[in-house]
Amino acid sequence: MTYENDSHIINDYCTNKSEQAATAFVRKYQSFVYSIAIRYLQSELDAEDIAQEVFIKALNNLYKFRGDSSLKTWLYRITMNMCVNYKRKKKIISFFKHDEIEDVFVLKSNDRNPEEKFLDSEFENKFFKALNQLPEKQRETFSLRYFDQLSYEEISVMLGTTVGGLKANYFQAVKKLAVLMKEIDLKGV
Amino acid sequence: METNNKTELTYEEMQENLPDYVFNRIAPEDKESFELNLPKYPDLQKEIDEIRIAFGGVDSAKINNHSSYKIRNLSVKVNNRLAKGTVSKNEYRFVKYLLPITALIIITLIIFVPKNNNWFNSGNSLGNDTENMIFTPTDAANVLRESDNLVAFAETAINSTTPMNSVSEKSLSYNTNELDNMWVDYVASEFFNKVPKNSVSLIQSALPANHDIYKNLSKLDENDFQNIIKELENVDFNS
Repeated sequence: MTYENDSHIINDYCTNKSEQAATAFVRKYQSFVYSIAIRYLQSELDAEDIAQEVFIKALNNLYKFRGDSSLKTWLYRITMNMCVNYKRKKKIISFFKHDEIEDVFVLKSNDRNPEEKFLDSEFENKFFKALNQLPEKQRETFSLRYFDQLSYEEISVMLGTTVGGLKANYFQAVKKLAVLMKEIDLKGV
Repeated sequence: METNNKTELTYEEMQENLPDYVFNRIAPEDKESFELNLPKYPDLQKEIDEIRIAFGGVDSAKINNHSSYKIRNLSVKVNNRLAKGTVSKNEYRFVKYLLPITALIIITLIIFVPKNNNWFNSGNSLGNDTENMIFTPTDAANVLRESDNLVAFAETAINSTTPMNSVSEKSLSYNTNELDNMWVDYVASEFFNKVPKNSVSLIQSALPANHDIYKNLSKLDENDFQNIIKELENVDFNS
């Protein structure tokens, strides 16, 4: 069974608790949710865990979705809330454990297999290192527009910023990234 | 895609459209007006070149594919968890707060509830004591604090339920000195019997001077005591 749009997935899941509908829903939005989580949590393992939690929560509450906003906006809010809570919890735990919290946004490669490592490139690492140096709002605006290819109107609803402000943020982010990548190039990764 | 059909673009508008122009996400009409206005802003042309060089190697599709590869089994994991009927931890979140909150309440009670409070004494609750009380500890302390001397102290006691006639009848068989001591003792004991035992110490501590007079009355010289009695005779108790 193929689903024409989100409302078909929602209807099928809410009425039949269909596994197929759940799969379609997860597959459609997994990259989006995962990329938000990884940007915020800066750890692949944590991001994967959170992505699972987000989809379980979303599917369990799908009947509450009224369509006032887009599903992406709704998922973005759930993901951000979960990430914020997760990070706060982790901070408290690490405080008691006296662990250091990693604050560098570089995709960690120690839990990767050779195939995954092959996908990495020096350039990507450089790019993510530069992206991590942007202020959070600029980083989010850039990522949602550049990677997730959302419209300014959608991003505006997600981040609660005006379209004009977003465009200015996006321009600043792109400009800064260009400068930062040039600097990293000069220093060497 | 956002459209902006204006032909004249300000510097700010040019800046806002610049990233979409560089990454080829600008609407065809906007692209046209952007290119028309670009020669007016040579610094923006320079920025466009720099951004193109910097982002030349970024392949957003590849990065997205990489993410998809990492979470290729996500739907299976989610479905498995849903099938198991995994109850969200959040539904039982309150349980983990229950113990610390209970402990906090107990600690607060231990710290802030006074040890001599009758709360913990079964069968002798604070409420019962309050009902039987003629003077609350605070009232009694206030009355006594305002009393300048023993006269006021005695006046307070006389105005209470003390039957003075019965005292005078009983006292006929005693000599004057004994009678005076007994009278003072009687008045004082009557007063202190009206307030709960735990309040007496409060009153006594609040009034060290009056308490000393009461305690040392029996040690007074006979002449001094007679003088006090004479002075008391001049006091109008009804005023």
